[in-house]
Amino acid sequence: MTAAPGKVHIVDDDASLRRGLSRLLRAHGFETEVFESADAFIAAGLEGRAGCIVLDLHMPGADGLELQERLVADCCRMPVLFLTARGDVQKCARAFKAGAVEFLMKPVDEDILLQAVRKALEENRRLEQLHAEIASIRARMETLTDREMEVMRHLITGALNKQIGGDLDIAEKTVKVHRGRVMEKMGVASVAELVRLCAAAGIEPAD
Amino acid sequence: MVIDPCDLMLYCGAMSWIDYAWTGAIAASFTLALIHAQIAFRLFGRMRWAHACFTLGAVAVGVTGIIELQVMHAESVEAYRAAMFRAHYSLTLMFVSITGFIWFFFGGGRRWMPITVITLSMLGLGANILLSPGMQVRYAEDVRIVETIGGATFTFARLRNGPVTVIELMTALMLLVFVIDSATRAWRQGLRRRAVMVGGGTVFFLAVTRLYAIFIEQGLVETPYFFIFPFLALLVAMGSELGNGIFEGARLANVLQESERQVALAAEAATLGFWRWDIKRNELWATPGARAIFGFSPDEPLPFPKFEAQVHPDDLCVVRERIAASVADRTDYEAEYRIRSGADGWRWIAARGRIERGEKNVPLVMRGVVIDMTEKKRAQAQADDMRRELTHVSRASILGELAGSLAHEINQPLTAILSNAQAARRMLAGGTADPGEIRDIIEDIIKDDKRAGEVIHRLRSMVQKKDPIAAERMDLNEVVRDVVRLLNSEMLERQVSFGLEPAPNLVPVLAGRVEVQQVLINLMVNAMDAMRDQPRERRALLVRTEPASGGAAAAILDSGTGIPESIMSDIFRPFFTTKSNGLGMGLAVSRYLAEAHGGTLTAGNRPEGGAIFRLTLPAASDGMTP
Repeated sequence: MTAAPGKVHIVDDDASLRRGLSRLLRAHGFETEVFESADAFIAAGLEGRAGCIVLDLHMPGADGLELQERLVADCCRMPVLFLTARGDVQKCARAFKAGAVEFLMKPVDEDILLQAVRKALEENRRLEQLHAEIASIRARMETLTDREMEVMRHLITGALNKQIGGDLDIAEKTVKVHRGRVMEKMGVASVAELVRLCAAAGIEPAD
Repeated sequence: MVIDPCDLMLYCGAMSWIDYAWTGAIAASFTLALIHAQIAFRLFGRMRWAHACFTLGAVAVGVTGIIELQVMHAESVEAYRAAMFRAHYSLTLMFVSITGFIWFFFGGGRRWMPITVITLSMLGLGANILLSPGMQVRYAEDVRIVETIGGATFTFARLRNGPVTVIELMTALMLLVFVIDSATRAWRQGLRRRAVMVGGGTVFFLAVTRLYAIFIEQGLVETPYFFIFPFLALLVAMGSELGNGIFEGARLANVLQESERQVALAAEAATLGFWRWDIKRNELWATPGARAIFGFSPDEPLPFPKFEAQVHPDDLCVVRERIAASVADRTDYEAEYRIRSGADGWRWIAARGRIERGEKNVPLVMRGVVIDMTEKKRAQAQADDMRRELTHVSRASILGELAGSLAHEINQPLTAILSNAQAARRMLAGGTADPGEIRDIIEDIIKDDKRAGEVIHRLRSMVQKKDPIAAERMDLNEVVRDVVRLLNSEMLERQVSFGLEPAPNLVPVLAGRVEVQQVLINLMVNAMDAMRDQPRERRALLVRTEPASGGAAAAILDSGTGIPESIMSDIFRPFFTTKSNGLGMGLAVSRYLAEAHGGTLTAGNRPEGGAIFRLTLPAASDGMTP
């Protein structure tokens, strides 16, 4: 799953402003795509998109905050960067709570905008990497049998083979075999490494 | 008429009650004569002559009394005859004076009657003097002394009447007819008391005395002539009527003075002045109050041109026109104009007047009042200033409320401009500039700059103080669109859906553009406020333009909860508000502005819920061009 890197999505109801922002960002080497409303953006689909979203707060129809909520619900990994022509502390707070990376006042200066966009794209890259890593861990986990999975969840608690055997009511020898397979399938050389992968993938240690 | 003082002295020797009674009556008669003579000197006109005749009559009565005394005390037939001869003089004087009195007292009548009476009396008098004694009236044939009540004595004579007596009787008869005629006339005019007292009294006493004289002369009764008493009674009756006139006059004078004082007081309190314009002589008369207002001294003569010279040159034409119109078509004169006050000051005057006409509708005078309006005008101007100030403050305050939205309106194009400019700079610096793209960028920049400029221009005209309201011919649809443009982001911000239904072929209206914008903004912001607590999908603002009688109207409809009936009558009152942070001036100022343009602003509720406000403005007349 690879997305086009560094694309800036501009959502604003003002056509002239869309054009201006798009030109500026393109002049600095960013790839851009413009949308005239939140609904148009949703309609275009999120699949395969990466980058960040420059979002106008006030728009007819669904406004910026509503689009942001929708994106959060859809687990979109593109950071949102708000642009607004009027200060509103409450909306600003709501935007940040929902995970906005920036809240910028119009008219926005080139440097500030570029810095914010770079930061957002950086964040997106980090998220994409994280997402990819988790995806690969998950893929490896998929190959584990249920028993191996159980053994792994016990392994990451730091328990010894003997203890695991006792807990699962199987022979210590059998535990040893499962353990070897888990380490092999997950591609790790140490339990410490396995703990890290499980934490990243959200696997809880056994009780 | 000869009165011998020796005769009077003679009676003093042996005074009986007869002497006392007659002397008293004589004195009373002369006293009355004196009093009325004085009044006659002080009066003018008809009543002066009535008093003069009364005086003569009183003298005649007094003299009659004296002659009666002489007759009673005549010691020989010759003395008796001489006294009787003199009596005819006094009788004639009495006839003449009564005739004159009646004529003047009742104010005229048939002229031939008094002339006949006087002619007959003169004829009688002449005949009595010229004819031989035997032909005279009451010629004594012999005399004797008769004793009467209380032991008093008097001379009684057997009398013979000559032809002159006939003339005398005719005179008396004619006098009676004249008096009855005059009294009847007075009765018909409603002067009943006067007719009865004077007319009836005169007729009664004249008839009684004449009859009684016949009794004496025929020897039917043996009494002296005591005519002084009935005549004195007649004098008292006439005198009391004359006195009534004087008392009434005095009372009226008091009443008049009182009412004059009251009018003067009222005029002073109202700073009113009265004036009268004598059209024929072209002269003004004015009360001291009016003179003060016009700027004249209390006693200088006031020819009309002098007044015109005081009027402001710009107003003189109007004043003249109004006066001419009033003279021509009988309407009341009404004008407001300035009058010179001091070296270079002017005072505002309001004048009203009415023409009074004589025969054939010829205008004679114009009477009227003036009042100094300067203070009122000043107060009015001050109130206008304050209203203008309030309008401006109210406008500024609503714009303040909209500051966020208006900032948005300006910041949008500014952002586009900045981004475009910086993009172009970057392209040029990086050497990647495509001339076509740069041209597009510049086009966009110009367009956005104009867009920002327009917003600022609209705003500037709204915050500028204008003075006074400049009405122009305009398309209400266009003004509505302008306002919608200003409020666009506010509606976005408040998540209000907006609909505009402009009526086609709307007549142009005549109004101040900024003021109409202000009213529309007020109404639309109010509508949005009214829908604040509605769920988002129920927040619909609709602006509709429509033809109205005499002009065009803009209706603003919201979908809020409507206006409660209990406050419907209060919403246009100043300082009435239902908003926690409202001043309560918006609607009051809006209605003031609507009415200042000759329009209306009304409020109501929609059957389907929500309120409707309708601003109606008068159509611009065809002659008007913007």
